[in-house]
Amino acid sequence: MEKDNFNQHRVLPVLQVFLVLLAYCYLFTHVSDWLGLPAPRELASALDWTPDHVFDPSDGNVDSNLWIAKTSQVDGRLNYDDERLVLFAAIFGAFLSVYFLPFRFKQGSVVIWFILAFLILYRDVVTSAFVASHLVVYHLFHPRSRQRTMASGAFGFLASYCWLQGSSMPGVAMAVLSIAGGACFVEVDRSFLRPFLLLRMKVADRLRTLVVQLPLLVGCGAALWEGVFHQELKLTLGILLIFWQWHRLMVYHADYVDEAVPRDLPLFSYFSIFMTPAVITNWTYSPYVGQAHAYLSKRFYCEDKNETLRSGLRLWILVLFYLVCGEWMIHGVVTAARELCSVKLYPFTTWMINDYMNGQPMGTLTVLGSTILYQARVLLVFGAVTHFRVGAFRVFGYRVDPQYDRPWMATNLVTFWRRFAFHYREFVVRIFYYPVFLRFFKKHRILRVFVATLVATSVGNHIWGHVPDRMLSRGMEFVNLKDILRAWPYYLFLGLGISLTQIYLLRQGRTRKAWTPGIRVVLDVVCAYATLQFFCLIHIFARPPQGGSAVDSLKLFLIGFGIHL
Amino acid sequence: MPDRDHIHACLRKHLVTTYPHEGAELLDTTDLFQEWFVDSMGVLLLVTFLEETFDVTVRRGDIVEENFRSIESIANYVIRRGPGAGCS
Repeated sequence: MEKDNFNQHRVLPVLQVFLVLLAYCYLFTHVSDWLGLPAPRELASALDWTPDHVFDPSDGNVDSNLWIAKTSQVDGRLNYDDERLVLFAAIFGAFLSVYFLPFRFKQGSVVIWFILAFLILYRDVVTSAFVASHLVVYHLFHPRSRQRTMASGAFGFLASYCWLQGSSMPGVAMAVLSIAGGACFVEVDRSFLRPFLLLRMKVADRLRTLVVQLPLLVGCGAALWEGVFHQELKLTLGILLIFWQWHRLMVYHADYVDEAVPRDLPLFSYFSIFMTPAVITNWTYSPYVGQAHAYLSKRFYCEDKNETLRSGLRLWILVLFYLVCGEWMIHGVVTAARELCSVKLYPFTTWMINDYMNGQPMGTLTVLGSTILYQARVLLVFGAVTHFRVGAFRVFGYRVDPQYDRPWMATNLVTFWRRFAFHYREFVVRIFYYPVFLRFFKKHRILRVFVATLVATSVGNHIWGHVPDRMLSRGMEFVNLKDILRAWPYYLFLGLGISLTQIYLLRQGRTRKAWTPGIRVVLDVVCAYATLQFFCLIHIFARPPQGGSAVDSLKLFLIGFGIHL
Repeated sequence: MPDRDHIHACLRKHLVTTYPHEGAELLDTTDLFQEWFVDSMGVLLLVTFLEETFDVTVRRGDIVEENFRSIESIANYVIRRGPGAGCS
C-alpha cells in the first residue's frame, strides 16, 4: 500500500526526463546532424564561446567521456555517438516502463530494456554469453527458486546457442539444437544439479564462494600462466563483462551469507540487480555503484518516485556541466598556473612521474598542484560517469547514494574516503572490515578497530579491489599483475592513514561537528586541505615508474614536502 | 535483561560523548546516519559498545541500517538479541 502511495503518475517529471535526455542526445550524438540543427560547436561559436578540449573536431559534437566499453571487439560496431544514442534511448524506454507499468512489472521491464540495448551494442553472442553466465550464478545461489525450470531452460538454450556459433549449420538447425540443449539442461538440473546443491550444502557454499572469486583467480592465474609459458589467455566478451561485475557479485554473496537475499528470489529480481541500462555506460568505471540486493531492494520506491526522479535529474544536469566543461577547466588551470604563476602543472600524474624519471627538475608546487589537479580530473570524469549512473538509478525509482559527495568538505581521511568513493567504501567495509572486526581481537578495542581498518583499506582494497580491475582492463599478462602489485606503498599509506585517523578519532573523541559556524572553521579549512593533499600526494605510489622503483616514487613524494633528496 | 529506558539512557550517553553535536538534541528517533553523522564504520564502534555493555553477540548480518538507525531501533535490537548487564 505504501509503495502505491509512492507511485503517483505526473506529466511534468516525464517531460523533464525527456528534455534532459534530449539535451544529452543533442550534445553527445549525431541527432543535431540528422535534424538539420546547428552542431553544438556551431551553437557555442554563435554564443562566442570557442573553448579547446570540448568539441570533437570531426563532427562538432561534445567529445564526451561517456562511452560504451569493449564494443570494439564486436563486428560491425556502431560509432561512439550512435552507441550513446542507443544508451539514451534504452534509458528513456526503461524509464517510461518503470514509471507507468504496475509495480510487479517494474524491475523486470528495466531488465528487458537492458537486454535490448545490450543486443544492439554487443550483439547476440555476447549478450547470450553474459546472460547465460548470470544464469549459472543464479542456479548456484537459488536451488529453491520456483522459476528454476525456466532458468535452466534459458541457460541450456543460450549456452548451446553460443557453443554452436563456430559451426556452419543453418539458422533453423541451430535454433532447433539450442532448444534441445535447453530441454536437456532442464533435465540435468532436475536430476543432478538441484538435488546436489540441496543435499551437499557445504559443497554448494564453497561453489558459491568460488564463483564470486573467479575474476580474481582467473585474472591472477592467467597472468602467472602468461609469465611462465608466454601464452596470453583471453576471455570471451560475455564472460569478461560479468567478471567486471565482481564487486557486486561479492556483495551479493555477502548479502546471501547474511540471509538478506530470499532463497527463492525470482529470476528477474536477480537480473534487475545486475542488468539495468544504468550500468551500461563506461563498464570499467566504478562498476560497484548500486551494490547488490540488500542495498537496492531497500531503496526501490522507498519514497515518492517523483522526488527520487527529480534528485536524479539534478545529478544529470550536474553531469552535463562536468562532461562539457571538465577537460576545458583542467587544461585552463594548467595554462593559468603556467602563465600567471610560472608553475608547471601536469594534468596526469603519470606524465609528471615520467618527466621526473627522465631527469626533469620538479618543484614542490608542481608536485602538490599536479597531484591535486589529477584528482580533480578524476572527480570530474569519474564524477560525471558515476553521477550519470546514479541519476539513472534514481530516474528508475532507486534512491541510490551518490558515489562522490563533496569530498573537499572532508576534514579527515575517514570521512574523505566515504565522501570520495561511497559505494566502493561500502564494498570494502562489507567484504573485509566487518568479518575481520567481528572475528579478531574482540577483547582489545583499539587493536580490533585498527587491524580491521588496515586489512580492509590496504589488503582488501589492493588485492580484491584493484587486481581484477587491472587484469580485466589491461589484459591478463604477468607484466600487468606485477605492475599493480608494485603499487603496494599507495595502499599501505592509504590504509595506515585511515586506520590511524580512525584510532585518533576513537581515542580523542569529537568535540564538534565539522563546519559548524565559528572561529574553528579556519581549522576545518586547514584539515580539509591537509586531508585532500595527503590523499592526492600518495597517488604518486599508485603509478609505479617504468624503469624505476618505490624509492624513486618516495623521492618524488618527499618533494611534495619540500625535501629534495 | 536491562529495561528499555535503561538501554536508551546508556545509548544516549554513549552517542553524545562519542559524537558530540553542539546545539542539537538527540531524541530516541533521531536518524543517526542522517542527523548524527554516524556512518558504516561508526556503526562498528556502536557494535563494540553494545558487546561490552549489554553482552550481546552481534552477527555480520545484523549490521544493517534498520538495526542501527536510531536509539529506538538499537534498543529494539538489543532486547531482541538477548541478555546484558547495562552501563553504570
